[in-house]
Amino acid sequence: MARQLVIVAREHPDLYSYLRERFAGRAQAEVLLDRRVGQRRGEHVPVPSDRRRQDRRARPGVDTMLRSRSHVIVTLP
Amino acid sequence: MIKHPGKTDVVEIRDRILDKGVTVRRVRDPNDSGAPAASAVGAGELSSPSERAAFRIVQKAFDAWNDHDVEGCTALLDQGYVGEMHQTASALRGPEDARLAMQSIRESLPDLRLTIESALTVGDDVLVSWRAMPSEVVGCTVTRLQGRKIAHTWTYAPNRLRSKATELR
Repeated sequence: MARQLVIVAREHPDLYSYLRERFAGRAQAEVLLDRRVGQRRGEHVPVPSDRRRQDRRARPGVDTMLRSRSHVIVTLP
Repeated sequence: MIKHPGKTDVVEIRDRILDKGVTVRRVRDPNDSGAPAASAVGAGELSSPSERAAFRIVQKAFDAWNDHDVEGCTALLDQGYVGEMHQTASALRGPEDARLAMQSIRESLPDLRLTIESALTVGDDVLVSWRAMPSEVVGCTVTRLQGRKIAHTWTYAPNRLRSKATELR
């Protein structure tokens, strides 16, 4: 069974509260508040050795979408 | 082959795809920064036939709205229907109340179209993310079904659209 996440942008706490309550206890769906604040890593700062092998944000598209909307629905494989 | 002359080809094709649980990913304008690449509506992502059926009822309501079919939209509502909107104290109660509200909004915003961008169905609850055109406002509605009727809706919309809808009620 596919599991779905509803990620709510931090600017919409009322939506988060409502959805959290509405979908409480439902295994197929989880409601999360996006607590991340931008990119901490500077875009153009050269470093001698970058220990991060890859961006830990597996779905960068979600970040982009959360800038223009209150929430995003993501289906996990 | 398209068999139902009463339906548009597009609607019938979509219905048939939904029946088979085929995942549909909409292709949007790449210049649209809000393109929902990760969450476009996919009926195949809804886990059971009953959840797909629930989603289709909600989708019918959106189709009826976009077709200016207020009566068709009202017919999908349960007699005990309650329609709530985030941060709005008064609720719509009953199909007739909802019909009058829809009629007012339709008269005031004749060009308003709602496009479903993504959806999640869990049991009898359907969360639909939509985009209102031509304003490009995005919001969502959580619908609870009872039998095959819409018993409750809760709509979360940004201020612009919400204030207009509230003003019309």
